[in-house]
Amino acid sequence: MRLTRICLMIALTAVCGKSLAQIAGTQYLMNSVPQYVTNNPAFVPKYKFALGLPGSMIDVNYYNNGFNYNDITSVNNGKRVADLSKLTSVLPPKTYITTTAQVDLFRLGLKIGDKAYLSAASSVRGYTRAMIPKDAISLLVNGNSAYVGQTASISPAAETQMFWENSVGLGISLTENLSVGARVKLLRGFMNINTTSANATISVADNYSLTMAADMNVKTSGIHNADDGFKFSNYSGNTGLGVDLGATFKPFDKLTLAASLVDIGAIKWKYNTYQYTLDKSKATYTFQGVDVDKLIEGHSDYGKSLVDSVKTKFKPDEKQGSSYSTALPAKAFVSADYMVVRNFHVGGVIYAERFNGRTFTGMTLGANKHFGKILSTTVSYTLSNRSFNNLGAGLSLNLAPIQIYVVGDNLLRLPLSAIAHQNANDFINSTQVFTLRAGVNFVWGWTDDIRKESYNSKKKNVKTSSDTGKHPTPKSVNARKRKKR
Amino acid sequence: MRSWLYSVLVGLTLLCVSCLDKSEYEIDSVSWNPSVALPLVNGQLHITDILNDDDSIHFKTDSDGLLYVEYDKELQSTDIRKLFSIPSKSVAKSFILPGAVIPPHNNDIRSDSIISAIDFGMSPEKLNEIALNSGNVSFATSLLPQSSQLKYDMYLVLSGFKSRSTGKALNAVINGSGNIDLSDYTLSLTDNKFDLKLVLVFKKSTTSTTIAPATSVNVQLAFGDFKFIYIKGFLGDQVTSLEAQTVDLGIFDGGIFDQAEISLANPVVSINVINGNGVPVSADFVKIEARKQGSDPIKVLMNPANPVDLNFPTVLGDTKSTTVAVTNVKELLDYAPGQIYYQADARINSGLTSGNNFIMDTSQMRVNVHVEVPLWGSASGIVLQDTLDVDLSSAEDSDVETASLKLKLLNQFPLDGNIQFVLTDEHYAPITTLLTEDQSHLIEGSTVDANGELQSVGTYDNIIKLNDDKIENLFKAKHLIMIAALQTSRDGQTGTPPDVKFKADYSLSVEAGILATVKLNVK
Repeated sequence: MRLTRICLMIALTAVCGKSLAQIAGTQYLMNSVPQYVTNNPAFVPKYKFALGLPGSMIDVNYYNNGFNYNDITSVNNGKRVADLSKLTSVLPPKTYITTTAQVDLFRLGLKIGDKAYLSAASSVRGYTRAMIPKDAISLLVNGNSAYVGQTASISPAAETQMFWENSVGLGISLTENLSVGARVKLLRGFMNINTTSANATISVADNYSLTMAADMNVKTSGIHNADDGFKFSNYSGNTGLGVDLGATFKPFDKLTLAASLVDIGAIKWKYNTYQYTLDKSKATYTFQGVDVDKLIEGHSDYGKSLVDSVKTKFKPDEKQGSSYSTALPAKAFVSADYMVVRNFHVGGVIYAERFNGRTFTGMTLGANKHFGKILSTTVSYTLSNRSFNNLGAGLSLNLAPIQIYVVGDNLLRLPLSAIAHQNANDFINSTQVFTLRAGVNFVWGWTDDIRKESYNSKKKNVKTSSDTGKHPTPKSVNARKRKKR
Repeated sequence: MRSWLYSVLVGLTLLCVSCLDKSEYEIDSVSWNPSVALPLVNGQLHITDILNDDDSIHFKTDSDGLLYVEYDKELQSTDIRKLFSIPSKSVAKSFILPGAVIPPHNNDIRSDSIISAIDFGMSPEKLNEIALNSGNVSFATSLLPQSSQLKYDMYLVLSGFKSRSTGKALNAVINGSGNIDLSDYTLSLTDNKFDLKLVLVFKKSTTSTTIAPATSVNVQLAFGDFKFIYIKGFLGDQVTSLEAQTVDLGIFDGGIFDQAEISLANPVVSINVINGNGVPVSADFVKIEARKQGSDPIKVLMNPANPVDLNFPTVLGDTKSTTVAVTNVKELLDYAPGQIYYQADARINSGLTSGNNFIMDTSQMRVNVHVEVPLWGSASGIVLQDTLDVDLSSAEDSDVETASLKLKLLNQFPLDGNIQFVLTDEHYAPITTLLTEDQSHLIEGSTVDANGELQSVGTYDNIIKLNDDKIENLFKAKHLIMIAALQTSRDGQTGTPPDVKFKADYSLSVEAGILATVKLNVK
């Protein structure tokens, strides 16, 4: 068993070393906040009723699997120098810089009876991902000599989605051990950039002649006329639908396993769609040096004509496009939660995100501790984005009916860095992953972990509840309260 | 416990936010060391590509594709024609009448006539025919005393002037003053002379006319403004000097061949004189020589020898040509002259005292010197030199750490040689050479067969690494002098220079690129 875990850890580390995930793992473990349900509709937060108004959740995430500030700069003789050559030595073949954001406009969480939890939310979400190939940066920084006789792939890619999401979800306990949940999302797209294909190359021949070639197909919606101002009615045509599916299972009392699929869906973009294309048969140019004839004849406008020629060949064709669909960045979570003692859980989550044909994975290990009803904390360690220094933390001040919370995958290093260096620079300079979710909720009805009778007295007929969807019956709660008194 | 924990967390958070050393994000400089491989020059050079417009018009290709350079210079001389002009001539004649009374008469009465020969007085010409293109005879008659009542006419008869349109001789009645156009007439002469006949006529009168003694009828005739279509007769033994001419041989110009030893396989220099003057002409080439700056001229030897009797036409409007061969062509062109200079006199009717000559108004003598230099032969010591301004001072912030040139030349020309680049300061004082001695043999000549035809392409394919000090000096230099020392390909076995051919389709394929590592630091 232990060996299996170790193997799993090694495998995950290796996987995370080459890929990245745009998922905040720490918040997955924080069951004290109503937003806990976002990653699995079968989850049930600690509070029976929650209300979120605008500002109840602001979620921002930054992921860079390529480099951090320390990879670019160094100090020489007391001076901060940007050493671009140093940068290229650390870059992976493709650097993905991803930013995501979500702002809750409204959120409602309501426990219905013992077996159901209803959630509804309205959020604005944004997702932007830029891919920069290492070859492109390497060409700029190190020059092209390393590519003599070779071809460098330099095409960047960009993806942007911004949409309004309205969702209704329901989690139901089917049996004592099994809960399932589903969430339906109605989507309205505001803005999209979708790189369907991009392939730009520079080939350096043995005689140093340079051949540039590119093909590209980029579709956009809501970008071309972005300067015209925002009118909501313009975007009503960009409709989409998404679903989240989840389940939890308790093989035995202390252990809860969970799995979910989130953001399974797509948006059809109809409004203000434009298409930008480059055809490789046209967008190809070889520069073999100055034409010796032109050199001798002394054509003064030769350079200009050469530049004009390149511009013409590589100018994307712009045309109004037809409607198209893009998938949401779909995510999958598999997690395990083990209750060590009452109000103290350890767990882990393996997650994956698939977007535009590319799958990313990550893993977070964490511990969750409720200090009474007032304070809930989570600490975590996340392997993500070729970044191994992500100590996450989550904190919620449960001053019911007000709850203030903050959680992030790399948050714990911030105070640690401050203590060690008396400033936050070390944290910022070494950060490739930063996630932050914070907000204020209105909450009522804390549901405590119930020490199972079996846990203390081995009575098997006592119903139990956990923080992962299994809720105590009123009878057992009352019994526990009586005992406590 | 809880309050302590809250305090710590809040405190740490505030610490984190407030304690940011912004100076750490003030970048003093950005440095990077790109190693860049760039193509510099590419393409194929043909001989005609490197010629300027003035030179390229002289390059021709024969049926075998062999390039040759052709220069023509033609002197169009009208100097012989200009020896001749028809002088103006004035004549005054008077009819002296005795005193008398002339009774009334119903018809005109022919009174008297004067016949006289008019001599143009030309020498040594003895013309016997002039076809006039323009000319006129003006006349003025007068009666003395003016009070005389005599009514008269005067008949002017110029039997030598025949109208070309009517075939009739000039016969006119003149009275008072006037002008007769002679442009339609051809004048027949005898040794420059023609006949004039004047006839005085008393006009009919119904009353008697009294002529006082010593009454005279006078006439003034002025022949002039002559331009001829042709003249015939004996034009005399005369000499005229033709304007000096030069044939510039641009191919050998510019100092390229100053030190060269050239052996051309089949050069041609010919002189052709086309004569439209119907008179024996002897062309005396007072001076004809090949010239080259800094060297003594070489005399052009001709056959037939100087002076050359030229053929001449015997029919009006015809021309006759005379070809003069140059017997020392190879010597002349191996000398790589910058120009051929000639100056000639033309002598007509040399030693003759009579003859039937003609000259037309349009008669010319054209002296054509034709030089043909096939690019076929051998040469050494050809030096090409050009100076380029370079100023890389603006790139002083950049530090080129290493640099090398990748050069590939595929040379179909049978021309082999070294190229060196001399870096100089602003006063053209050499700083250093860019290439080492063993790097300078850049041009590998093609090999040729026994007929001088291309056998195999000369290939140079190397990377020329520039030493650090060369790179440093390149940034200091203000001028770059390129010097190429060339020779035609040598025989691989004997080392002797065979006669090689340069053909129009031969080319030098050039691929040049640079590989440089640059240390960039932007502050």
